[in-house]
Amino acid sequence: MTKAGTIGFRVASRASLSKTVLAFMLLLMPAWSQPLHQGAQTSAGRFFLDESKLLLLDQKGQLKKLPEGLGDKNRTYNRLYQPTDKWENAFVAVAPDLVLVVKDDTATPLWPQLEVDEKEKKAVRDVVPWGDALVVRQNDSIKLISPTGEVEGYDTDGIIYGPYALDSQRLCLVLKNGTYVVFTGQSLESPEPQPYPFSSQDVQATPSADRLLLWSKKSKEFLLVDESTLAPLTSNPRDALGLKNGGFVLNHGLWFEFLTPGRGRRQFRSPVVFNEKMKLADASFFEDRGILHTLFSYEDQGIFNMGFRLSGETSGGNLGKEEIQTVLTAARQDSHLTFLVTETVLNEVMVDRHGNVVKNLETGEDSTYKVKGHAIYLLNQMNTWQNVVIEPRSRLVGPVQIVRDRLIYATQTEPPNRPGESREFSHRYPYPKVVIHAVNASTGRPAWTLDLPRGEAPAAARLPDDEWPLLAKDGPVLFTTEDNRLSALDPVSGEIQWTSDSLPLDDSRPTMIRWDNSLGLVATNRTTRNLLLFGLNGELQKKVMLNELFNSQRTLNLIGVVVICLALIVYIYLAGKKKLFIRRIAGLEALDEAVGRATEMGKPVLYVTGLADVDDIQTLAALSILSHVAKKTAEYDTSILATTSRAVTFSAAQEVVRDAFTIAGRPEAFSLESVRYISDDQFGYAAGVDGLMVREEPAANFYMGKFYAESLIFAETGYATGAIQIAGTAQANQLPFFVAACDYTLIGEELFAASAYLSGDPLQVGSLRGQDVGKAIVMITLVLVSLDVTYASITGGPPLLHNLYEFIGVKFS
Amino acid sequence: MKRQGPLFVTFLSGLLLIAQYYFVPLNFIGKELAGWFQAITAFAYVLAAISLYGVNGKKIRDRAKDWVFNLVLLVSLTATLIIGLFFNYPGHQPTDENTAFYWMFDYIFNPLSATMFSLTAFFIASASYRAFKARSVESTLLLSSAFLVMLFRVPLGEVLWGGVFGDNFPISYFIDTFIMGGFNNAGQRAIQIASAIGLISVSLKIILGVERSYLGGD
Repeated sequence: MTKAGTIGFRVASRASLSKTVLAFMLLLMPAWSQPLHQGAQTSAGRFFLDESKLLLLDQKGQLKKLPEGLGDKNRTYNRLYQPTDKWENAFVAVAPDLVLVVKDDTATPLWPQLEVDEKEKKAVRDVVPWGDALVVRQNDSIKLISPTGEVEGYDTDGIIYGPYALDSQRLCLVLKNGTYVVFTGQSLESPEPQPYPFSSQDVQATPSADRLLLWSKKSKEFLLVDESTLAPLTSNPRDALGLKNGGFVLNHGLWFEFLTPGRGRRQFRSPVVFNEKMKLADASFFEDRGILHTLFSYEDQGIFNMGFRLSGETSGGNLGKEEIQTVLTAARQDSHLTFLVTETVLNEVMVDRHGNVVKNLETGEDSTYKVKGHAIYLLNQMNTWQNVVIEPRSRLVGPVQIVRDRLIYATQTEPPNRPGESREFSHRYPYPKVVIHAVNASTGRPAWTLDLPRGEAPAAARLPDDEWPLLAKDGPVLFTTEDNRLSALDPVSGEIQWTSDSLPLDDSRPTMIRWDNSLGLVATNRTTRNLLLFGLNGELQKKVMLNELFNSQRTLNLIGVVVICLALIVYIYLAGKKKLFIRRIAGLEALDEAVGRATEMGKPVLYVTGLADVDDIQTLAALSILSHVAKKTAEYDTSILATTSRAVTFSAAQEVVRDAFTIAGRPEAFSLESVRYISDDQFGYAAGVDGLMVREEPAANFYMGKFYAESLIFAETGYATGAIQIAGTAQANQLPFFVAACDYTLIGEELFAASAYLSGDPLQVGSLRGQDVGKAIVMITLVLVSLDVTYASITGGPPLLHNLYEFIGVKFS
Repeated sequence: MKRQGPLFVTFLSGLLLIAQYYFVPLNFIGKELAGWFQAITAFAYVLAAISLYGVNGKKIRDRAKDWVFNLVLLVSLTATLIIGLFFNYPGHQPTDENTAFYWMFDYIFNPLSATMFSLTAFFIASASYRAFKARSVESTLLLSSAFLVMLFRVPLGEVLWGGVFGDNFPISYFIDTFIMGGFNNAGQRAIQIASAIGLISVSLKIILGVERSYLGGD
């Protein structure tokens, strides 16, 4: 047992503590209401969201068309709401621009058109469950949707705060006109507006578990909604926070003030001064057995833990060195237990490979080293944190959550660090095994540990972050195993209830969807994304492929490629039968002239293949031209220097030049120095090539392929050395540099046409004509579509070819 | 067979890569083949390094012109290799912070790269000087539009223009809308569309085996 104030725990950043508070607040909701991503079910079938797209399954588990009004397959949704079991045949679907109430197979929009709130930048401000009903707010209007799908509305002149569901019977709105309204009986019918004594610019609203506090930084009074009497404060509050017990904390800078329901008010001196920047929401406040506890960080002094008794007694102190993971409360019938889960640093005794303790040679004491671990503490009746679990070399993975009287968490533990001992390493499972643990939340004692063999153990990558998925309110906890199965674990006994067969899963976390009598798992593997439908006993009932076989977003792309390929194939075929005219390309005509000039001057030819590897088509085009240039240099008995910046390109270029020399009948003229690898680095390559230009002074420079910022460095250095220069690239940004500094430039398509042009092979020449036909088709299409869209713009109607556009997935704004 | 084998592999790989682009269940093939390419690249680096040592070593041995530069290259290459391989803290990668390799990258490699890159500024000036000469109608148009774009994309141009014409005719709007957004954009897109068609053409020819000069020879 350790006294409070001696256990250290420190939050590394404010964000960590905020996360703690968030986890704490989540406990306000029933544990079973959230664990699985909810699907929705009506008589029309089972609805669910797959990557924001709404899909519908019929009773047989087949995907079917969405009912009218729910939009086409391209409409995206944020979330489906079917909050309680009473919602049998209705649910609410929230899309970015639409809120729909779906009743059986009929979808009705809550508002004809949502207006995006300029301040919040979203159309729907809040969706709040109120008892069995759901309340949706858009700007200054709210709608109540009953479990049967009936809709009731309430419009105001302006809402400042709310709606707040104080309990299943009371819903509160704070209005801009200086009043607030409290709706009762799950109805929005004529509430009596009540005035609040603050200006609408200054009023602040802070909800707790079942109350709403109205206050102002400029007033020394506060108002509790429903009590409608003003109460005085000792000074102006800076900040307020609602508590799980229904009370509030007010921050006055030098002291806190607790407003405790039914037990009066109490002021306590704050252990530190809360400055203007510090928010109460950054701290964690909770009540345990009549003592209000607070955990908060203060600058770099660590975490303060204070307990405030209503009798005025204060306890606690600075807690020091540990990092809070979460604070959990397990409710019992008459009281509750509070757990604190931390990450901590522990000293572990050093042991050699034989298991003997290593002694410090100077002091003779046991050698120790620091390891990270985790610890769980229980706040006991003495108001001290009692250590329940402490485990070195382990880290928490997945959620830490109280499920049916068990605090359940999972860990991965590293083996002890023994000097000189090599660790076992599994290529199949190159990470520590996940072990699930449970602590009895009623007694605070360890309940069970689930240490399964490798393969059957939970897959760490697929564990959820926040909450354990439960199959039903009193159902088992679900997890996927390392060997890709779904297992159900009884949280009370720690036994595996059922395990499915192997499933098509990859390392990504599957989405789980629960309907009344079935469970869906949206899971991806390498090739497909599937919905796996399970019965509640774990039997796999159906596997539905969700992704399309064909990527419909690429329909237009495929049509374009097919049309151009057809044109190419037709002209390649025709080229064998008749001679086709090809326009003259000056840059290519000059290739032979440049090699001839180098020959006359007795200087080498430099060939630069660009920065890309051979997986880039520009490099392949450059290699084709290199073949022609190398052949010419071999014929003219001129030396060639081909430089590459990629290793694979180097190997390919070497083969190309060697073969060209062989074909030219001068294989002996090929030298290994003809093709050089310079460097993979962009400017290292530029420096190397520039050096070659300056030292070797080639008479002809060819720059063919993919170039970036080094293009101008090459071209200008080449110009300075007086070489004739021919460049070719499809990089539109680099073309101006080549045009400015080189004698000839192959622009875009001319680079790709070069090989065919130079070879004179009829088949290849046919492809050039096909290319030109392809361009003509694109030009005609551009003109036609431009005219059609212009026509639509003038008439205000749809384009004439809108059916075609729709088919190929083109949308015009 | 020496030629048929690579052509068949090219045909098969080309078809698979096209299919995986359009058919979702085949998407993994693209990622898988990219991994294969990385493996091949690793082997090719050995050949490239041998070539570097061979070509530069020969120059040093023959005391060819400026052989000292070749020596500097080989010493730098070898030193980088040795430091990267052997001068690491246990359990650290060579590229981790505070390693000798990282220090070399920060204090030798980066300044050298920046030096090379900075040459571009001077080369732009010299290339522009030659290109922007009013020798013909086309080059005069080029010169005048370049002058407008350069001048009115800096604050000085706006100030000068504003002093003469006030806000009646915003020149920056004219440059953005008509020169850069109109003529320049249209020209760039024309090049890109034509390049894309040329790219399809070359790809098709390579897949069908019509174009085989990249393999060497015919």
